[in-house]
Order: sequence, then structure tokens, then C-alpha cells
Amino acid sequence: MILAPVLPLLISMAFGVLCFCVRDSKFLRSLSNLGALAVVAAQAWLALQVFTSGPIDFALGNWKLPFGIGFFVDPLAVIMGLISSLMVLAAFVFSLGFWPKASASLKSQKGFYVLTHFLMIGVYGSFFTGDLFNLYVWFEVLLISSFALLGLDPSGRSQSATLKYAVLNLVGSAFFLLGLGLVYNSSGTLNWQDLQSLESLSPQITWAAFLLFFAFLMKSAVFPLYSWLPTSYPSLAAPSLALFAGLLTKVGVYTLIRFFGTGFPGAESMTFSMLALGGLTMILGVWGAAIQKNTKSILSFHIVSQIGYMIVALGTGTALGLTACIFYLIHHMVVKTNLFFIAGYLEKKYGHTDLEYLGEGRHHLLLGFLFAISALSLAGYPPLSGFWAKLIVLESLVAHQAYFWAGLSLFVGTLTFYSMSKIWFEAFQKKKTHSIPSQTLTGFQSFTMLGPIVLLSVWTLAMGLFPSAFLPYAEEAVRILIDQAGGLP
Amino acid sequence: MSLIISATIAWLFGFGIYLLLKPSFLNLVLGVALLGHSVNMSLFYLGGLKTGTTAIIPEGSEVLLPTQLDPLPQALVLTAIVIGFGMQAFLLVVAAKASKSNNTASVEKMGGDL
Repeated sequence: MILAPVLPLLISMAFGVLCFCVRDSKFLRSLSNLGALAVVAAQAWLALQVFTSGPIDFALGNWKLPFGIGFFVDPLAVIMGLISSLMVLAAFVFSLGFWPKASASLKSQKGFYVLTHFLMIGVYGSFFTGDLFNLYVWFEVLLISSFALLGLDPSGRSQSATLKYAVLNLVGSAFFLLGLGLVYNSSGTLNWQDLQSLESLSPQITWAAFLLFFAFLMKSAVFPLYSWLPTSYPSLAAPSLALFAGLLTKVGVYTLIRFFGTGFPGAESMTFSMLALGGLTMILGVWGAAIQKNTKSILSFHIVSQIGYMIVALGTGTALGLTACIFYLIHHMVVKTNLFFIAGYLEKKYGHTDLEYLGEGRHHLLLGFLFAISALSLAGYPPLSGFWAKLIVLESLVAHQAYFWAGLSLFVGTLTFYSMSKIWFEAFQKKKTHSIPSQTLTGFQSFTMLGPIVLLSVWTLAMGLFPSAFLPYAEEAVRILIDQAGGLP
Repeated sequence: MSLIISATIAWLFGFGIYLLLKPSFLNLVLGVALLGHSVNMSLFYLGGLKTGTTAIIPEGSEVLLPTQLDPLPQALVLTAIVIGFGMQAFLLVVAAKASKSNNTASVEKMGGDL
């Protein structure tokens, strides 16, 4: 169908507005889930089209390039889009159990569902667009929805987290815009395909590239611009937190792959600085996690550390590195969302996220088993998806002769395992030291909360047992990327 | 003229960063606003400065003459200004709410995680 690339955006927008108009909370929840399901269907169909007949070029409003804004939907974009939509569906199902009908007011539930739909417009728009300024606009849509989602909770802690998150991300946006202006001035175009194929660019394109690089690093939470993440994420409620963790920084990594993975025209050597930046991100993230005493804080720092793995793979500047980064993205989006769901389940059942107050989780065999799968996958144990993801990253590093960073990534894996075992022992093994009564959850609650956790764990296991079923998609995406760029630097 | 505009952009940017680093939440919001203004102005500047012409197709012609202004950066700046305006409005409300909920006007004392 002619509108296929914009269909996920239109559906999200429609359901966001519809959910806003609904008055009954039961209908609201069903409607949102229906919307998420519809988007998954649209994304799957788009993915089918792109993988069978090649990338789609879509001109908004039928204005031909170079005057119009173009959507360029290639395999990388649809992979990201499809997995994001599946994570949204999982988060909505999880929220059905996390916020049972009676517990939260209609207003706050509406806030979550409507704003998440609007958030996803920005996310899908960022994935599909082929124009730099259009990317800025989708980033801002994404950003303002995330501000509102953060600010939904009126407590002082959430509000100060929102303020810090907002200010740091707005500074990043300002740098993005500045770089954008310089790109336009140097090359006369903002369309990425045109930019890649231009022969002569004025020397100030290097400055433009640096400013854009800065903005994307800020968005991806890479050293030295990652501090906004552990400051703001732990104050979120579990369903939104799982979404934020699984999606927002990945949009940043996606833009880094798209614009710097194959070398920004005029600034190809910037790719290699990602080796050092990624390495430092890995180690600082996991050191930060090692001293935290709260499940959400630990997992937030781990997001930073895992982003480091992806950036370090990108920094090799090779096709293998790009494949590693994309495979890692797929693995990480699923595992991180799953871990945050588990943390949310523990919070719901035992009422706390502090490790000191948790315990007695050993009575809950299924959850312990599922946590073990996700945690070991994060740490990189076979036969789970994390093992293959880290192995391919290591291979690309060794092939590029970056032995120090390869060794560092192994060391960081050990520290990741230490962190996860800390949560394991505190939350699942030890006897409770404080007597906090555990909530009894209804069958429906358990089902809707555990259901997504089980399915995502099965995905992790499947990806670990059959990596050759997932790798060709990443390789195809890389092939198209390199084709478009006309070769690697 | 380009010297004056460059100087203004630089001054706004520098002052915006200076305000961002101050502890009071109101300075924070003003700093972000100034940063946004300076970047918008630089976008406008980077689109090319000419006096005495417009970005509108003249009577009797079908395309823009090469001596005229480029309309695209003007469109970009308009979009950026509107987006910035929305962001600043939201930021002001959040800052005021955060200050009230934490009973302090200093961002440093607001605490929270980290």
C-alpha cells in the first residue's frame, strides 16, 4: 500500500487521540492494547515489504526530493521499528497487571497510555525519516512525550528527575540544531541520501559532524554525556521505565549507526573515536552499577554499560562491527525490557525496589528462573542471546586489532555478572531481614505481568539457541547501509 | 552586519551556558531559553544573509532568482522557534513544580538519585 511507511505513525496518532477521548478506564486499557497490536501488525507488514522488495523511498506530501522531506525505510529501520512495537505491546500488557483497574485513577492511566502512543510517533518517525531536520522534529516529539511521562508522578523526586532529564536533553537538541545549520550551509542539502553522494563539501562539515555527533552521543547516553540516565530513570514507574530503557537510548544508537556507522561525509575518522568512548562507557556504567543498592538504579547503570558495547562495535568501522551492533541492539532491547519488567513485578509483589528490603523471592520459582535467564543473557552466558551478541562484538574488535578494548569488554562482562548476582542473592536467595508483608496478586495480575516476561525470556533463549535465524537480518541491514554509503571508509 | 550577528550569537550562547551552570532553577530555564535563541539565530545566519531581497518568487517569474534569499532556513528557524517555545513552557512548569515539591529553589539541593 502506498502509505505503508507512515502507517505506524498514523495508527499511533489515531489511538493516542482516541484514548484521550475515552471516559471509561476498562475501555481505555483495551483500546490502548488494541492500538499497540495494530501498530505491531503494520510494522510486521512493512518489514515484510522491505525484506522482500528492498528499501522504500517515500516522499511526504508527494513533494519530490530535493525540495521535499523523504522517508527512507530500509531493513535497519524496520528491524528497529518492529522490535520497538513489540516492546510497546509487552509494556501495555504488563501495565494491565501493574496498574489494576481499581488502583490508579483514570487521569493517570490516561496519561500513561496517551503519552506512550505519542512517544511512539516520535520513535517510529526517527527510525523511518531520511531527512536530518525531520529527524530533529521527531526527536523533539519523542522528547516532550518523555518529559510528560516522567513528570506524571507529582512526587518531589520525580519532578527533580524530570527537570534534570529535560535540561540535559534540551542542551543536546540545541547542539543538534547548530550542527544541522552548519550541514545545510556546507552542503546545501539536508537529505541523508543526497549528503552521502555529494562529492565536494566545504571543510566546515567537520564541525557540523562533530556537533551532530555530540547530540547523538547525548541521546545514546555515551560517556561523557550519560549522567542524565541514572539520575532520571529510577524515579519512573515500571511499565514506562521498561519502555524508556528499551527504546529511547536505542533511538540514539540507531542514529549513530545510520549517520556515523559508515562514516559521515567529510568526517570519516570520527567513527574511530567511538572505540574509546564506547570503552569508557562500558566500564563506567558497570562500576556505577556495582555500588547501587536499588534494583532500578542498578539496571539503569547497566543500560549505560551495554550501550558502551554497541558503540565500541560501531567504532571499529567495519561491516562486522556494524552487524555486531545491530545484533546487540536486538538482543538488548528485549533483555533490558524483560529485566525491568521483573524489577517491576518484584516491586509490585514486595512493595520495594531497595535490595535491603527484598528477599524471600526464592519462594517464587518461576520468577527466579526467568530472572536467571535474563540476567545471564545480559552478562553473556551461553546458550542465551547475550553470549552471541558479545561474541560478535569481540570478534569485530579482535579483527580490528583493538585488543585492549576487547579485553575490557570481557572484564566488563565479569562485572556485569557480579552486579546481576548481587540482585539474585539479595532479592531471591536471602531471608528477608525486615518484615514487609508481600502483596497477594490476583490471577489476572500475575498472568498479565508474567506473560510478557515469559515470552521475552523465550525470545532470549530462542535467539541464543538459533542465532543463525536472526543474524541474516542484521547482515542484510548492514549490506544495504554500506550500499547506500558507497563503501566503508 | 555579519559581525554583529555572529557576536550576538556567541554572546547569547555563552550567557546561556553560564546561566545553565547556576544553581537556581529559574536561571536554568533561562539558560536553556537563551541557548535555544542563539541556535535559532545561528540557523538563520547560516542560511545566508542578504539585504534588500526576499524569499518570495517575484512577479512574472516561475522560480526564485539566484540573487534572492533561501526560504528553507527560514522555515527551519520557524519550526525550531515553535518547538523551543513549547519546550520552554513545559520546562518552566516542571521547574516550578520541582522547586515547590522539594521546598528549595536550588537545583543542587533538590537531590534525588545521584
